[in-house]
Amino acid sequence: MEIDKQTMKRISETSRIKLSEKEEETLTKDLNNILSFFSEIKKLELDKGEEYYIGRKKSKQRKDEPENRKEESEEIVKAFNSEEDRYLLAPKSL
Amino acid sequence: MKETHEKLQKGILKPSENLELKIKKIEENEGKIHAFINIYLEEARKRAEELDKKEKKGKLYGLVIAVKDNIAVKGMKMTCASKMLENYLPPYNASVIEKIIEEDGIIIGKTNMDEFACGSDTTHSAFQTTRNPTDLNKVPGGSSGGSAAAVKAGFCDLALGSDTGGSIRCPASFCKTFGFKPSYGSISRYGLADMAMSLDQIGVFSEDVYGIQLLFNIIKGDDARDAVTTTQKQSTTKNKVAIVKEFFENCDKKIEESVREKIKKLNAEEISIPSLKYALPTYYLLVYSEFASTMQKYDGLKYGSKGKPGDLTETVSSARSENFGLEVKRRILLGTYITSKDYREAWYVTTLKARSAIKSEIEEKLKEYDYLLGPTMPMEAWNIGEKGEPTQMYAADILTVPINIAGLSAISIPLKNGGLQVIASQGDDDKLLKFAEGLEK
Repeated sequence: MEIDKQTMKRISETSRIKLSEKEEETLTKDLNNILSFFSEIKKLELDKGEEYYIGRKKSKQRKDEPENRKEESEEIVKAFNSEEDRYLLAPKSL
Repeated sequence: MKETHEKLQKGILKPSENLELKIKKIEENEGKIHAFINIYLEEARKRAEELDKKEKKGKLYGLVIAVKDNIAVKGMKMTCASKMLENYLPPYNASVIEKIIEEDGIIIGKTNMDEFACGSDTTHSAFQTTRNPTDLNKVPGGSSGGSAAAVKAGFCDLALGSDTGGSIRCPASFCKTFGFKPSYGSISRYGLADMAMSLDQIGVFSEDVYGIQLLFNIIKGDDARDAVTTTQKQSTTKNKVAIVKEFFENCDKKIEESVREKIKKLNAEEISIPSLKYALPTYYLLVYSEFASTMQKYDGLKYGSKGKPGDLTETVSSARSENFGLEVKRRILLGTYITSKDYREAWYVTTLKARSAIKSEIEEKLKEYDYLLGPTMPMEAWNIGEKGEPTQMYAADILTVPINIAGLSAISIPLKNGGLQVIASQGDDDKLLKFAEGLEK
């Protein structure tokens, strides 16, 4: 079994997804089945490099000029779940 | 929809009249099909009335267009079929939407999909299941099932979808309509909630190639806001087409017959692409990795459904666990695992190398042949609820994923049984659509 209970706890913490006991059990089984289903890829003899680009090999750049998007920025602030003086309020880290 | 387009352009049919025809169909059948998550009839009627009075007609004048709910339309909710974004209103229009509005298209509503595009049958939406208009007990395919169903059911003239591993071509095949996934980089993804950024493309559904060409030509093009967009260069014509042996492995016999019958006159040479055997794992492992990364932005703080009160970790974790569906969670957890430090080399880096191998093998073949042919899906639409187990569903994507791995252009053409998939080099979109026109008859 590639992913054990400990590993699952670690992954769910890193992903910031809180799992119930039952979900942890089901998902551990699912993930192990899926990885085993795809494990044949490890048999592939690969001498190629890693492919990162699909098309453009060079990044495109734009001019660093400010745009006036006041209306949009109002909408963005309106969507904050907690706001004060146009700042997003987030709970304390610890 | 060529006829409708021409009537509108000539003034024989008014935009409001065209819209009412679509609304009538929606009133009759949307209750059975559930193609839309949100419909905006009032807004559409208002827009149509404005257009009725307009002298100078845009290229999409009066055409009714449905949009997959992962593409931003200002003033319309953008849920991505997830509880996480149930009430989210995007503050801007996607680039493709700006272009549609500029050319006088009427956007009628946002269509159902698998949650955050995680699925191949549109049964993974947090809100509703869309039914296949050709058989209400069957799935419409996914993840752009709502858009395909809306076009097939006559609720709209054209629809937008997105395709990461077959999410346009699969529903096109299952709903028996045309679905086109352009080359990677042909259409701006600005305003598309991405699933896997090296694989996603926005594409088009229509009941004919004419409609695909019409909408594609308007929404394509370079965009400063999407760094991968580029004006694609067309390849030289080779006057040769090939049929790929591997595409028929485990394919439904009737579909194979339909495909071979359709392409009989093309004198296709039979070729083999052995690395295709690794396309499915390569695709899914890439998706998990990129998906886990892109889903980090949903924290219930900046927008979207809130988490429980607590410290930062608790709030964010509860927002995510309460508002993401099971398949979404699976993919995020898998992606986190295979890109983590200890496992990255064994899984993620291996996948990137496999991608290189597959991509170069297919590209080699496309230097010799104009098009690669085969079935779009190895089976017909399954019954709703039939493929509950993830790997069963993943396996259905086997014929569509290689195209996204290599960033190619592909269209699905409906047949008596299944669909014909025609694949062309990255950059050959116009050439492919011209060829598809010929196959339409």
